[in-house]
Amino acid sequence: MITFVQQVINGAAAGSVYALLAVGYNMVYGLLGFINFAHGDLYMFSTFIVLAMVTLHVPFWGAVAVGMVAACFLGMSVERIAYRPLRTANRIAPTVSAVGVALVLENAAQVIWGPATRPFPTPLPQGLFRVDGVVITAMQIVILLTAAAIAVALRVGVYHTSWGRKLRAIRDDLPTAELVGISVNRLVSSVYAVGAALGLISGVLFAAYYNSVYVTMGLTGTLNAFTAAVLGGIGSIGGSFAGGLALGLLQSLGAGYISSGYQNTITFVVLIVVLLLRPNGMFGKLTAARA
Amino acid sequence: MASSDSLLEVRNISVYYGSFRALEDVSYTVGPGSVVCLLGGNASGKSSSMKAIFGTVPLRTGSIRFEGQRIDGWTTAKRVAAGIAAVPEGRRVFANLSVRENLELGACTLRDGRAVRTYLDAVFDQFPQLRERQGQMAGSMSGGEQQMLAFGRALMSRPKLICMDEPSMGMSPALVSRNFKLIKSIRERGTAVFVVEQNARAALKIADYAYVLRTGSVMLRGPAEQVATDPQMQAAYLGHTPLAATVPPAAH
Amino acid sequence: MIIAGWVVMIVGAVVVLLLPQVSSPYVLFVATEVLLYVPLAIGQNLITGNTGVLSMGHAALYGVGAYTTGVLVSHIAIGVPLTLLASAGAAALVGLGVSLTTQRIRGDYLFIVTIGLNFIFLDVVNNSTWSGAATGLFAIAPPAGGLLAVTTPARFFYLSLGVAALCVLISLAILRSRFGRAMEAVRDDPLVAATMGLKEVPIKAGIFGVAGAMAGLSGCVLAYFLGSVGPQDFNSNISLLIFEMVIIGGLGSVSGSVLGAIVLIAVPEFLRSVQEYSLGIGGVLIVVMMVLRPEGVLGSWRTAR
Repeated sequence: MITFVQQVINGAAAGSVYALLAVGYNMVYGLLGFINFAHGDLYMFSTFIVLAMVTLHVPFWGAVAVGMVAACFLGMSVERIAYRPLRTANRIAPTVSAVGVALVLENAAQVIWGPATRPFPTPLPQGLFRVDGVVITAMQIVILLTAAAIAVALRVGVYHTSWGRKLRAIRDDLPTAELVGISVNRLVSSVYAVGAALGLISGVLFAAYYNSVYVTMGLTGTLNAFTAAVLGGIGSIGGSFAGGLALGLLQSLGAGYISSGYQNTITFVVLIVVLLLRPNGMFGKLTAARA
Repeated sequence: MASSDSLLEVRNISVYYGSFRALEDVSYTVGPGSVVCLLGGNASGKSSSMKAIFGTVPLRTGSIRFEGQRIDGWTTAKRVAAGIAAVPEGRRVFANLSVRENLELGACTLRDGRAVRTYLDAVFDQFPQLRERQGQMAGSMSGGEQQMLAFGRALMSRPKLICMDEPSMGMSPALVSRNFKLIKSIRERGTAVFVVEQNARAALKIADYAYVLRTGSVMLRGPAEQVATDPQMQAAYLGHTPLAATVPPAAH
Repeated sequence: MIIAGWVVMIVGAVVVLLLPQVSSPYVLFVATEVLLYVPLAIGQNLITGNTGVLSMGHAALYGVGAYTTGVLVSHIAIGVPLTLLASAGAAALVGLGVSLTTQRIRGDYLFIVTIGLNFIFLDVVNNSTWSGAATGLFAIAPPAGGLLAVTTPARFFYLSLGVAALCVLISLAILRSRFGRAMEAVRDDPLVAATMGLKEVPIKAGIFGVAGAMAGLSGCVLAYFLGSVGPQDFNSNISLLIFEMVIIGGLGSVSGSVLGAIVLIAVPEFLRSVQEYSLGIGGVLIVVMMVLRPEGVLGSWRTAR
């Protein structure tokens, strides 16, 4: 029982990190019906920028701010250069283009920072608590609280601001949104910026939680975020959180009860089974109209 | 009509989709406060004309002026902000947004929040049903109500010109007559209306001036009464032959 | 013109055949590496370019071939022809299985799922004793004196050349056959293909089987060539590299696959200064090609709309 509770706590923390990554992914998918394959590499790259700043003795929160600005800038530039010209093309074209972007980011990170796993020093609390034999780290609490706060902020942003209203209008009917006078390009750009910023937060939490940053966390990030999105309902913002948590729990229970070496296998078997049973994701509905 | 006092002036525009010619050297003008209709069957270039005004399709040649300013290089949002509003074909409302949110989006190019609230009240006064249902999802309303919402949404930006794409398409005769009454009332407030229609008979009754398109070119133009009595028009569009039978099949 | 073409081909063939006699060991090594990738690129292109299936886990099929050889050689005395066959067969079966399990998954999701299969493969070989776990299998060598006993670099080169040439010929034969036209019909419009009586499921599964067999052959030669196999030889970057080859070389074209293998393996090897950046330069090329001519590169991929 103690193991179970322990795994649930570990899984919830890891899952919250996935959720924050999946949100950016799902926002874009909901809006444009396109899988941003480079999302994970962007998160990896901007987390490395934070690490580089910290190495240059920039205070931690300053480094995070720089990383956030860089992430937004990168997200918007990638959209402008590699995706926007393909918005009306065959849906596969932007997906392939995104693979190109992912390769560029991965290669650049490899050249600049090397292939080794780097530790990630942070001033975030590192203590731990024991409750009836179950260990809870301060970092886990930080992660859960951050994810919850962002979930609430997003809910407000999407349902109670004019930005969110425009976002939902574009998701409903892009051509009409344009006719009504919404600057679709500007809004899409802002969504990439928000997605990248959330990705950075997710990256910093990940790096702090596992005390490591490495190049291949980009691709695994993309894959975990996609799986979380499918589990929670692809294109659904709220679903990202449900899906992220579900994936975190599955991986952690799998590691605890089956084997820790098969984490990716568990992820993908779940993904494949879900896609076979529910081709649009667990709670997916509207996406069929976009297909 | 002299170009200096026209509100919208479309000059010699051509629109191509690849090598397919949708519009060739088409010109039309809409004066301030007037109702102008653009008639034609399927694939006559009606919807391309609409798209050209909003800039959602590129022009190969020609120019578009609004209040004397060249707008053909502008983004759609900038054109809407300048005072052109759309009532798109097939009453396209945002189905998963509330009625109120739909209306607020109609004013998304306005910066003054207080003005938006005033305009919202004015639309609610004009369409009391919309006020009653302001919290309801737009997609759950009836077709006629959705059309009303699309009208209301266009009015929210207080435009100088409203462009309507096939307001009578798929509507019952009662709704068609209500829509055309509405167009009259909009015009009475000084807003110009540009209607793209297939239903020539109804449109000519309320229009001041009409253009008839056929396979991408203007076939006939003139004051509405004159167009209505033109022998060519009588034979092709207003006779007892149903419209569909006289128009070449759509080349999609 | 036709004569000139033949002359170029014959000269090219002679140069390639004489390469072991005239080139330095390093050039021969690189040429062998290129040849090992030719069957992989050709298989990927049959799947993606000709049948229109977005798949990005080709390294797993490659790995199945290599590990089959590694395991067989470490347990029984077996000659090269049999390991070639066994590796091709094993990878073909895995390819077939992958295709049959994932048929119902939509095009752009499949992309991610197939990378996932690459990861599953890595999990399996990393955690099993038969595969030597993270360290892999060593001392993979053919029995001395047997048929196709590859022991010298020149022989490796000829074996790879033979395998690559075989795959080129098989691919050309398939594309010219009725099956090839059926593949392209399925790619262009599955609904129309269905009304013509073409069955999407067996066609896709068949092509995954063929591509798997090709990857298996390459994997077998690689195992002998390196003398060892390990998980790092088949990670997702190898899958991405193979995918890059067919996009840059040209989707749907056999010569494009060969070209892609040459460009992405030989060019970075010889231009040491850019080697470090090759994956990224390939990425830039992909983006540029997509943005400038998406329909040109992807051909008639109406299916995916």
